[in-house]
Amino acid sequence: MFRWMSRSKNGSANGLHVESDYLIDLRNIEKAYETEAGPFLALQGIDLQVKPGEFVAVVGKSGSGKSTLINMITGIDRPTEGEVIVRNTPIHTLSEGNMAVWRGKNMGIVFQFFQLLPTLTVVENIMLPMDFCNMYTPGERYDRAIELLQMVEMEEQAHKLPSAVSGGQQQRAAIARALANDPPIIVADEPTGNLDSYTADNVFAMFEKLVYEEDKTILMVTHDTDLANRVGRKLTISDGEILTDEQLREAQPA
Amino acid sequence: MKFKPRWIKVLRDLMFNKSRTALVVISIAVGVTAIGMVMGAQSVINEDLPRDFFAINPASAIVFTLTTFDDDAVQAIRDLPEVEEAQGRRTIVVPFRTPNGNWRNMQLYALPDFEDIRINQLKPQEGAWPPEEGEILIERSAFVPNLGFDGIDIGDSVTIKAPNGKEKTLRIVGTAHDLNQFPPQLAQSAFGYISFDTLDLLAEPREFNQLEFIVAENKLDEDHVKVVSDLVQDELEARGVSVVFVLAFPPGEPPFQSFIAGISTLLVVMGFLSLGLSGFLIINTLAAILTQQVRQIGIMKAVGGRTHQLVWMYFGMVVVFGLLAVIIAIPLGALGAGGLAGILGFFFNFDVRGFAINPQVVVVQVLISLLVPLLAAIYPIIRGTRTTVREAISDHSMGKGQFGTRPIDLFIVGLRRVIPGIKRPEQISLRNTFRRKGRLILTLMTLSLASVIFISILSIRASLQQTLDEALGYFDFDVQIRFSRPYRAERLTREGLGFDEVSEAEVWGFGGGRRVRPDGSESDNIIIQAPPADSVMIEPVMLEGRWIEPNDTNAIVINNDVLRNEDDLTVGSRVTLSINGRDSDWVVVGIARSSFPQPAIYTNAEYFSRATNLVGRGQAVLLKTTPETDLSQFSSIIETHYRDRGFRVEETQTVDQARSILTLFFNIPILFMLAMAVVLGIVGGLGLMGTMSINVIERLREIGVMRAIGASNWSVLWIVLLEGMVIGFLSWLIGGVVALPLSRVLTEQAGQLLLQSSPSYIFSVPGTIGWLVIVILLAVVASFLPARSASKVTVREVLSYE
Repeated sequence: MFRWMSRSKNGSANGLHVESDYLIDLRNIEKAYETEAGPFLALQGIDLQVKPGEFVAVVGKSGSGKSTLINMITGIDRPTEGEVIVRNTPIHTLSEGNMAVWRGKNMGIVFQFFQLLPTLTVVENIMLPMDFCNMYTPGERYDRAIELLQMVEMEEQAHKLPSAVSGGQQQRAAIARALANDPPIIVADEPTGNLDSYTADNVFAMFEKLVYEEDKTILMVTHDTDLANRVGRKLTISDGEILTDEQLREAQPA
Repeated sequence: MKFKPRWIKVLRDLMFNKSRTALVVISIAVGVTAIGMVMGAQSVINEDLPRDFFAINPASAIVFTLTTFDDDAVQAIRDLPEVEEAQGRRTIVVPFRTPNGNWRNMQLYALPDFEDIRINQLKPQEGAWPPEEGEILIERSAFVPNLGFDGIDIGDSVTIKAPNGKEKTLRIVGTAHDLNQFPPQLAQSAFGYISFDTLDLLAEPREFNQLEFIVAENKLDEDHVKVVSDLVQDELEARGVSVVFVLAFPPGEPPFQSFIAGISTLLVVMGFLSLGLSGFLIINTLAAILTQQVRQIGIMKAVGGRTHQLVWMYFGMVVVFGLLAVIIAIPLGALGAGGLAGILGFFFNFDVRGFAINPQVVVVQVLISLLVPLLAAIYPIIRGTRTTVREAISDHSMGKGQFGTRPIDLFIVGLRRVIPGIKRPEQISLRNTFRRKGRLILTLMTLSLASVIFISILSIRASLQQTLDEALGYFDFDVQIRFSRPYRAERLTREGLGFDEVSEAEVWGFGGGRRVRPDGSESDNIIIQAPPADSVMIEPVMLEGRWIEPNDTNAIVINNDVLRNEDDLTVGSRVTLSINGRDSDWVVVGIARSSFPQPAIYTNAEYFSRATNLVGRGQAVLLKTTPETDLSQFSSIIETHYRDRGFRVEETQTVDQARSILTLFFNIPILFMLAMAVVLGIVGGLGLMGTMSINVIERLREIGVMRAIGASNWSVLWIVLLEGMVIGFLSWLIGGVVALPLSRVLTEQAGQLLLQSSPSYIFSVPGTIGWLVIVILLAVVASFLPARSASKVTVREVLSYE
């Protein structure tokens, strides 16, 4: 229903282009951190391909490497070895500045602690990615932000500061912000981790709608096994490796 | 106009953190106000003072004579082709009765025609003009209570004692402004102006004893003025006039110009120091803001913000800080400039236009307000906005700051073994101090600089005071009475010794002379003092050679100020002196240290009286009194005594008066510098407050944890307060160590500026201890608010602090 707001975008940045049949293509990823006790291997031998329209849950114990894996996909972190190709762009090769723009246009990120900017109102928070990435005309930005807030049933709270709304509402606003630039991919790091079960369910339902009605591709880190079992595909991470990769539902056709 | 969300964020951040915004704005405003104040005052002084000064048609030089001269002599000088204009005045010192019955001295100037003052013009202020017979005008800035005019107004009469000892009543008919006089407040003497008819009333001859002249050409050429001065002096001496000295100020400058310039330079230096310090403050505060915003920076990057966009956002924030600061600083600076110029105008007796906004100063202030914070912000902003998203969102650590790996950390940890009884909270304070070393260094730089300046200024003051005491100790007498003509020495001493309060009396010869150099050129006028060879009233500090002895004939001792212009002289040099127009030969037998910064020659009284045809006579009597004597009262009594017996007293001065005049002279620049040190202290205090606030914000988690394990409000408060005090103490320590050598250098500079010679040096221990107390108090005040907010932190708040 929000398809009219979508904009077609070129996923590549700075002319870098790598052919891949997948929306997200992680090839032989390894990530090592230097610690005082010596190198620590957070990820090893990760090969992961995600097709458009998939709803993927990443589960695992604390310290298993879930967040590191997600950070590879969002470009927040870089692999020590291997390639990360998202929408045919080798994002591991992008500079920090180019990465920011690329991410702003291609990926929406939802954090566990919502991370709305405290001094901006809810609607301003949603307009901020459009502002940074120069998406939509200045006149369109406000309308789009309000539309997105309507989608997440938050239009009543549009002009409140984040501190004036509940945690669940903040997370819904954060989802709206993730959708601001109409990215094809949403990455959520424990988006329901800080919410009660009722609110968590609402948020999850919103994700389902985005995947099944809006053709978004979602990767979601979660501890919640119930939610993890409701997605299309479940990856279990242990000691930096993909332990299991279960297809629970068929992906929506792109 | 609709702002982009990023700029809305910038503005909201400013508005939502009012105290932080205020701190940064005040930090910038302090420095910019100081600059505006100093530059504004300078521009006022540079415009108003020269304008007023040139308007009086200032003299190129003033010749002071021992004997009087008439209109013919003035006309003869006027007729010299090198002289454009000349005029004579008569000056006498008379006591006047104050409303409380005491007698105070007043310098009277008698002018032949008030409607035709050609040089050093007086400007009528209030009341009548010109003064008729029996009337007097008072210099406007002398017409104040502390110079004896408490309760006296225009229209009232004042009783003076004429040189012949008779009391006369003069009616005050108005005030005048005499810009050419050394300010009465500094001279500690009133100035009055009378007509020649009034001179008759006082039984004084209608003759002059001061000649003012303006050179015809090259008016601003100091050397040329000197050459013409010599010609004028020769002409007067050829007419039998005994010249004491010629006073020539640097051409085109009022008498106190160099003094004002000195103060002004000091203030400019202080202004820029304040600005530099507020720069440190800005670096610290912005670094803190960016530290606080790390997570937000990460989020903005996560949603597409690029580093350069964020850099501009924070630079935008800095521009707003600068603009807010300049809004405060422009009026405050102008007000301060008006006030500062007003104070200088009051002390130095010139008119200032008061509060005025100078466009040039405003431009400088705006530029400084924007540029200095932007420059100061470059490093923290670039560093802060380089934070990666991963670093930002993975920041769940305890308070920041590396501690424990460096030698200084190990030293601090080791202190627990040498400080007995130091408890764990105190150890936390000590260690916390050294966690953010960069921030600590910036804070210490600010506060330490304030410490250096404060301690140095007090050391300069103590040194100048010491120099003054030494200078006054040089002369071991209590009262000096100078007469306008020579009297028999035996009579002068007898009158003095007739008082029980006087334990000893000496008569000194007094005069002026010029050295005739081997090439025929002549030196400036040099004061000649001729004490008895066995004088007990002078204790010279000999640098070379010996002091004068009873059997000396043409032996002289010169002071080291003579050497400034006559550097070829040494012990044993033969010197020709021109005294009262007659050349005589002398031998330098010693070089003494100067008491006051002026060239002086000492010689045997007996021989000097022979050389000047004044055998057995003298022009000054010096009296030593018994310890219990009240000098201010006694000086008045003895002066009256001499006057009543027909002696023409020119001036009476006690050592205390000399001390208070000179102390005031030193204290004016010292007070200005202290005021600026206070400003630096405030900037330092603001810096410390900023640092402590940042430290508390950064360590909220730690504080929450401490609360969770049982720390009371007081424990948390104490930990923060103590950290502030440790920083204060360190700044004092560093400041003291730096001030040790620096205050010596600054004292030398101040001595050269104010005394034109090297002063004695002492390090002000009381000043150093006093500053420790002040800086600790400052630290407590600066740390209190952050400490209080830390003590109010609850565990719940910290757990939800994201």
